[in-house]
Amino acid sequence: MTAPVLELNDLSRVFARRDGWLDRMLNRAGLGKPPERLVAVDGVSLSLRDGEMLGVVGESGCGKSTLGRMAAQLLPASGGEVRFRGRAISDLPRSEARDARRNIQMVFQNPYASLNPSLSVGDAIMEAPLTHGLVRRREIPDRLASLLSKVGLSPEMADRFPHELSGGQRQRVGIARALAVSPEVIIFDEAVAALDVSVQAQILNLLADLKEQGGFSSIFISHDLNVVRFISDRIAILYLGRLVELADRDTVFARPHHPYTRALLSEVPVLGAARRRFTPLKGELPSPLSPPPGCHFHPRCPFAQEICRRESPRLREVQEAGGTTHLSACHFDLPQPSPEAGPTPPPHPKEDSHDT
Amino acid sequence: MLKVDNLVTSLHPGSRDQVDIVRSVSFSLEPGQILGVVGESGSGKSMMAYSLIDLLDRKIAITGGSIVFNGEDLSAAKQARMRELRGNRIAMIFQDPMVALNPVLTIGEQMIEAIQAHRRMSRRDAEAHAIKTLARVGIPSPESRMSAYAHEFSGGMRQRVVIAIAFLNEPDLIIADEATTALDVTIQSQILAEIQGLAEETGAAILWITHDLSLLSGFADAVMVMYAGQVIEIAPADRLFGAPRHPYTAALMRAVPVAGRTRLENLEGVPPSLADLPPGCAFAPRCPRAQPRCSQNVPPFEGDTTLGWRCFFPLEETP
Amino acid sequence: MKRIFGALKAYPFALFCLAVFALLVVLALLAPWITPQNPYDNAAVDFFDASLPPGTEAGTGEFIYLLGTDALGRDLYSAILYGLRITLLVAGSASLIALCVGVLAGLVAAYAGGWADTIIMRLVDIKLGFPTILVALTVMAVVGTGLGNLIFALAFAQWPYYARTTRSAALVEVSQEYIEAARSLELPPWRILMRHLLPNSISPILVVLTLQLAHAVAIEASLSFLGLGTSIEEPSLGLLIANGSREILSGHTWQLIWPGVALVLLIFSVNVFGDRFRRVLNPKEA
Repeated sequence: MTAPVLELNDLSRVFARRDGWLDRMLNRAGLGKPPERLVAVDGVSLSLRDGEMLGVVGESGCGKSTLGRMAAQLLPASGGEVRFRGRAISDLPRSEARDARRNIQMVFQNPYASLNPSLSVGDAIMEAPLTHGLVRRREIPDRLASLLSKVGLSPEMADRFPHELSGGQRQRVGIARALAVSPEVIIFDEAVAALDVSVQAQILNLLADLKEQGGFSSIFISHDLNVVRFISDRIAILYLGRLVELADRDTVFARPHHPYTRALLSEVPVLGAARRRFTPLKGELPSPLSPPPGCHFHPRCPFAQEICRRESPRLREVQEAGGTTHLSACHFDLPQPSPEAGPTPPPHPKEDSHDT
Repeated sequence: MLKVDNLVTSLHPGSRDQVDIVRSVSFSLEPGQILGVVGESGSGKSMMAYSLIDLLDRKIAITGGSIVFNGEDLSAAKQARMRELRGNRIAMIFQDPMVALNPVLTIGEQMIEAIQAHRRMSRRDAEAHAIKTLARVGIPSPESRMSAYAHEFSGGMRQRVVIAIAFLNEPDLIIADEATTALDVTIQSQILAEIQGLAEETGAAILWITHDLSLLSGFADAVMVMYAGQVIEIAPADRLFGAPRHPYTAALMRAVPVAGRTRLENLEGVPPSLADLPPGCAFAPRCPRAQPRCSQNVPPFEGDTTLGWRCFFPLEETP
Repeated sequence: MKRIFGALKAYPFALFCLAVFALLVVLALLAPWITPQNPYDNAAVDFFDASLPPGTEAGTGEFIYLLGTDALGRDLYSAILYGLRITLLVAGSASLIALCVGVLAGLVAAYAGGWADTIIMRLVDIKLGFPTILVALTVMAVVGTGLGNLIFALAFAQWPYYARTTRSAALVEVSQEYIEAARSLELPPWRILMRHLLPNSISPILVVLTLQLAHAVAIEASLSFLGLGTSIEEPSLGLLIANGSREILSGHTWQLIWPGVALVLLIFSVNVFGDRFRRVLNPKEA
């Protein structure tokens, strides 16, 4: 079997406050504040299969964007490695590493910040392929026209500037710009989050079409489960920097294993649902600066036991009828809730520990 | 309790560049009712809400219609009267809680101030009332949180504090503009649950403005869909989501990704510019059902303030 | 750019100042063709015409000394236009050099960050800790007088202003997603600096250019006044003023007044325009 197109191996990222020299001196003397460390991504391993779209879901502060930026080589990892076609990018010779990085492109969230305001659409799209010698100068008009039509823009758009475009059109340009260097991997970072519903639908349809046409594998980062469900083949769920569940899309939605995934699923707004009582998960998202010990989810988990506070659960393969990989980071195999009843009561009701 | 009739709000009123941004909006709200207002950016949903409480920019003014709140015409009310109503009988919740919170005052000080501005109450009673309200919106150990500053709360908790302040004086109307848009799903549903409970308990009517149709479907009693400054459909929530009559509502619903859907509605184009509206129905250029008539005449609003639509060729009512 | 010009239209005085500045530049450029005398050509200057009041006919009878003559018998009108040339040449090229060095340093500091940023910005801080005139004086004292040295001294004293402004403008842009996109596309760094970062950070730099140009004129004049600037054979406006001030007790007031008026007009017009330009670009400061 050939190596997966992209592998993230035990990837971590720690942000530390950069102390000034005074703080450092004080620290050395034991007088300063202890340096703050934010573990944005904590040992995440994922591998991307050829042609698939892997959804990465999580709430704010779960590290999904940091993960995407590390995968795209825009942010160095604090630990672990990114492997492209089986080889760690950091070990590659200079020119090959450049090539690998060019093969991993990114589509950004904010259509108003992701285009250079002083470049025309055509220049923005064709700049990189020209610089890298991927196209000859005389091929540009044809190549540009085909890229524009691929993302659903008319050829006249080539001479427009970003301020003349709507949000949806800008996002299409961003996608064309990424496609222009024929990357093998595209990372979509909240690529539809800033768009209106009808425009979001257009872009999602476009992405579904592009995926159909093939030619690239992708990671689709989003906070919106509905969107990820529509577009992804597999789904990874992050909570406070850790991967808590990974499975095929349908498995995640039909038989979620991790209690956090279940909570997320039961709380995502569903169109057409009758007026209902919300049965929300208790508690706030903990600060990533001081995540709870053990399983990060235990303070909010209705099923938490003593062990959850002490030990952080390993990501393990869970019982799966279909034979596809289903990973989850929970100590227990909790019974599946019945679809109507909402979360099942905990097996051993425990005292609420909110007053700590 | 609140009755809005043919409300028109315009940019640069009276000048040559006058642009109507809220166009003839009518609806009514009953105590305890949650009315969801949904629309894409530029639909006029926020401007409509700001018109109700006179929080408009200087260049924008109400130029037609009436707003009757508890029998009082607000469109004619003086500024002083509006100030009296705001924060007392009518409260606002914005997307960014920091807009509503003063960063240099403790939460307790702000809450007590908000109570005493509108009610004769001793400081001690006001404090007790504030603590009770904080507890009611689900803030743990409210006594100790009274002396905390806004920045010491997480985003979700901050928005809860804002909601507590909004409910402090048991207002009759709460206007929430994208109040949970910046929050995570799990936190959002906590807040929605609090709001539902509070509306029931206190009898406050809620005008909930959002771009998120799915959010409203489990939350609102009635939904009003806005497009290009107009109400194009209004209906009880189950009815609207079960059988939308306006093609725009239907298209919007088909554009939302839901389980099993492999294709989303491709609603081509973008909403029209309010300064340059098409002659007929504002939605006609994008409408899959449009007939020649639609681009010539503006369709009238059919129905009343609880159930109606603005379309010549509405979708059939499916049983 | 269109927007900026549209906004400037509302300030006719600023546009008037721009016109005055443009007129001065044109006069300076055309000096050899619109002056009756080449004041640098000793053969053309008649020492016997020294310190004649305005309106006197030249000894040769060929023309009239419109603004009188200086102590060396040079036609003051011609000397002012030629002096203006020197002043503009010195201030202009010094500003351009300072602009190039400063902008490049600022872009690199903003984009590279880390130790490159620290080193560049520490240099800037050190330089900004001293008055510009003092730095320029020191440099002149070390390298000696002369046109080239004067330009070097001014550029040396002024680049940090450009660096500081460029860095802060570019820092805002560096965090934008389009810069990340450019990095992700593996565009070479110089290309990201020049094509992505620079065009979007340019407007505050142009403001600094106008204000620093006025400043450069003033410093050049000061240095020349102090005798550290241009040579007596080819005087700039500053040196003309210095010479004129020595004649004031002899009652030859025109020798001070007219070069002074020219200098004030130049600095004033550039400054007023630059100031308005800054406020148009950054309405928050207005």
